[in-house]
Amino acid sequence: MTDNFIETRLRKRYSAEKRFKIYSVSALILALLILATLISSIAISSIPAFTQINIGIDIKMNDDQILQFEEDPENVSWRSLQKKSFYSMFPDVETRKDKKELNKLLSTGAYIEIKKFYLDNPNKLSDNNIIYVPASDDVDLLIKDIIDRDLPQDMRTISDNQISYLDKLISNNRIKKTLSWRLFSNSDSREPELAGLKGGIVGTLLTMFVTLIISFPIGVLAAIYLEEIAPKNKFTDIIEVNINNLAAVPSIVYGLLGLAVFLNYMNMPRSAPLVGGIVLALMTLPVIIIATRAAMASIPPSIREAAYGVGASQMQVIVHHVFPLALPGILTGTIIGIARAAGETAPLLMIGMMAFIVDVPSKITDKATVLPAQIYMWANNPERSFEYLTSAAILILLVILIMMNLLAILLRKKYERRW
Amino acid sequence: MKDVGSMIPNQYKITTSNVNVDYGSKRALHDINLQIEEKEVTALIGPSGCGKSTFIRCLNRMNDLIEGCKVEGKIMIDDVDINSSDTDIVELRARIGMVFQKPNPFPKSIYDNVAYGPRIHGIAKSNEDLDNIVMKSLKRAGLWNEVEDRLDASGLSLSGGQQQRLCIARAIAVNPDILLMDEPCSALDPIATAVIEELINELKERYTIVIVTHSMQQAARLSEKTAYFHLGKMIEYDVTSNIFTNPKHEMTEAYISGRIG
Amino acid sequence: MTEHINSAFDTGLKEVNKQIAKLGALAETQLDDSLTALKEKNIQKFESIINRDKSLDKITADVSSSVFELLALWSPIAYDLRSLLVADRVGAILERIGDYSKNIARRSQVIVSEENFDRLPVNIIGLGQHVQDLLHKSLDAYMELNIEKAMNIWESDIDTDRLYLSIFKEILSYMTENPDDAKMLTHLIFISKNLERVGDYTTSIAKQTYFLIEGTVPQTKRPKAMTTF
Repeated sequence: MTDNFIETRLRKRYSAEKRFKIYSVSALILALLILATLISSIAISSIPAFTQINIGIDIKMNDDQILQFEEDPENVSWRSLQKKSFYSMFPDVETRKDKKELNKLLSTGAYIEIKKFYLDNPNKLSDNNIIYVPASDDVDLLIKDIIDRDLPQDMRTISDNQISYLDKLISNNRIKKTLSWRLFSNSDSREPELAGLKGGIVGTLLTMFVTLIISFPIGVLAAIYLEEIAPKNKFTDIIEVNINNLAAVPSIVYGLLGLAVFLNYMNMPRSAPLVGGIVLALMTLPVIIIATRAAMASIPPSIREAAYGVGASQMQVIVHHVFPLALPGILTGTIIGIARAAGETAPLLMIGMMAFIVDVPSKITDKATVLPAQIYMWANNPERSFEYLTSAAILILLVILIMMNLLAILLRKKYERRW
Repeated sequence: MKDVGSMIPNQYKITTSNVNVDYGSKRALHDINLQIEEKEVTALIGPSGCGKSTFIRCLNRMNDLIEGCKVEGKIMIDDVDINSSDTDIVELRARIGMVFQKPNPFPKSIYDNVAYGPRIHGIAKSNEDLDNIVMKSLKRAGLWNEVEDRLDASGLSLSGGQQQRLCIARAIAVNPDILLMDEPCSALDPIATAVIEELINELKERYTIVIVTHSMQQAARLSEKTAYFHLGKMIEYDVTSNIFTNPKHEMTEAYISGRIG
Repeated sequence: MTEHINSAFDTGLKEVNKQIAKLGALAETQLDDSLTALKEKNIQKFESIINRDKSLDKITADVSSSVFELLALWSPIAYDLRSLLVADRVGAILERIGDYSKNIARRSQVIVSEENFDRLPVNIIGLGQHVQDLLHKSLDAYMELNIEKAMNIWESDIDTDRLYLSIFKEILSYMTENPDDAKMLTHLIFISKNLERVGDYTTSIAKQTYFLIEGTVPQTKRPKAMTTF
């Protein structure tokens, strides 16, 4: 009787445990599925952005142009060289309208590639060259089968004529699909086939550099004071509570602060990584302080006692023992804080870093934008190609953030000590 | 007694008079008067929370590190009141080595563990000098033979007993004349304990040793004098053999023979 | 003394004390029997005394091994240590007293059949009763941990010495007058010497009791009478 009772109880307990396990495993699987879906959908839709369709143009410079080139490459009318060479490949096209349509197959920045070719190969000035230039975004999408050529003409952004020109190019073997590095080598552009992320990446790096330089030393020193030196009283309690609250303040508030203090009051340059970095540093500070304090609090008191016991002063205890031992934890916290800052857009909105900026910034006071801002702007662009570019940019941002987190994990693994 | 103590030169290494310790509003030690002889082992025994660890930490002012801990009274070490404001606490702690309950080597090499104290106090004049100090300290701590060929290994790679001897070497590397030991064997197995006890017996030729222990047998085996603490008061202080054969106080008797006191 | 936190030691100690009590009772019986047997010339009683001595030896051995085990397992200190040491020693003393009783019985066996036995003027029974009394009191003092009783025994040992001395002198003078009875008289001297030794041992018990309670041996010198001349 009692045996039976115990047995049923036991069975119930086991099945409850099993159920509990199943719940938690399925929660984990669900989370992983969502994550996998998200990342794979981004990855898949970013694929077209990593290849580029190029159209080969037969070009031969005439003597005038060669002379002009030798004087100064800027004197050459690259656009007309491109147009004339391209039209001559289609002798049947005569009307102005058709020629215009034909020219639209090429990217508006195609002539830059021609110029670059001659600058790189000055010995080929007088040769017959086939120069591959980027196709326009519509051609790009058509060749990649994203635009359906069987649709009626008024429902696609590319005309029947253009398609016939393309077919001719295809049959002449003048269409080439190449891997594209322009996402990394070009900066932003209105033309999707020319737009790249270099400006955003460099802007992000500069901004993060400023953030790190400001927030790491201040955060760490503040944390050392609070954790090791400050007496425990009302005042430090209030500071502590405030720091914890600051970590939860909406990031746009920091942007407002930046706008009011750094731009309006201190007249710092607008849209500059300097200001963006300072604002993000303010945002990251509480995170670093909290992480540093946690890391230092986890150093066992026995190490401190040992150091005090042989007569180390407080500073020596901190500098020789507590700080080096806490460093992996501090670095982890810092990198995670910086990574979070690298993904921020809201505070930068207020200080003008959410802008279309073509030039790659070269110093922290230059106008610049950051990756997330660029993603946001690209997502707002009407051209269909930007859809794929946005995905690609998100993927790149994700990879950068994952790499930063990986670095944090590696640092922790490498320097973590056990007591 | 106080007056006499301040008039005649102190023949004891450590003399405490009317030492009171408060943690916030809670009094942890009441009126401790104790004389500790030079180059003897003095054992402090008593149940947990009786204040013996608090007392030993008064002797090198480790209690200063504890927030809200207030020490009153006079603690004379060689005729100097260590609680007076002009005592240099760093120098004091260099003169008084301390070994803790849990072996706590720094997560550094064996060499660096021992060399740390001499380095921060600038004791060694050259690298050679430092090597010598490290060797001498490790030898005195009876660890040299076991580690001489791996001084670069981490101090944490040693066994518990070796770690504790490393801590002893670290403490004696700065040339203290007093060694405080706060339950140095409580985390060790009996063999490692025996090794440390033998070491303590050797060390007492050079150092005045004050040891807190939970092991009655250890106090009996090691010490010349034993003090019994109970609830923050010193109940009895006598020659060890008296304490363990014929204690004067019933509470001491009850404690050492494991009776319900 | 309060109880130990760990009751197993108390149990062992109680067991030892119980054995000692039994041993004490046995030793008293042996002494008493040997005296009555001597008085009554009871040959059978002599035999039973001699046979019973073995059980005394056994109990003493038991006490010893229990004490040894308790010492090894518990490493007692202070009072606990003393109580075990004293128990062991008192056990050994009681065993010795048993041996003396046996010896008295053996010697008595020989002399009771002598023809001149009844004409002996010596009050050997008186000495015996005095020693018996001391033994009883010393065991009381030990069992009750009564330091005053113990000290009294300590002091009254001088009476034993005096009694023994007078008996000794009497026998000696008797011996010069009756050299034929030399064998019997020698036995008698041994018997009275045995009783005197038992008396000494009772003071030992008292001394051990004092040590058990105070942790030191009595400082005052024991009063002594001349035992030889």
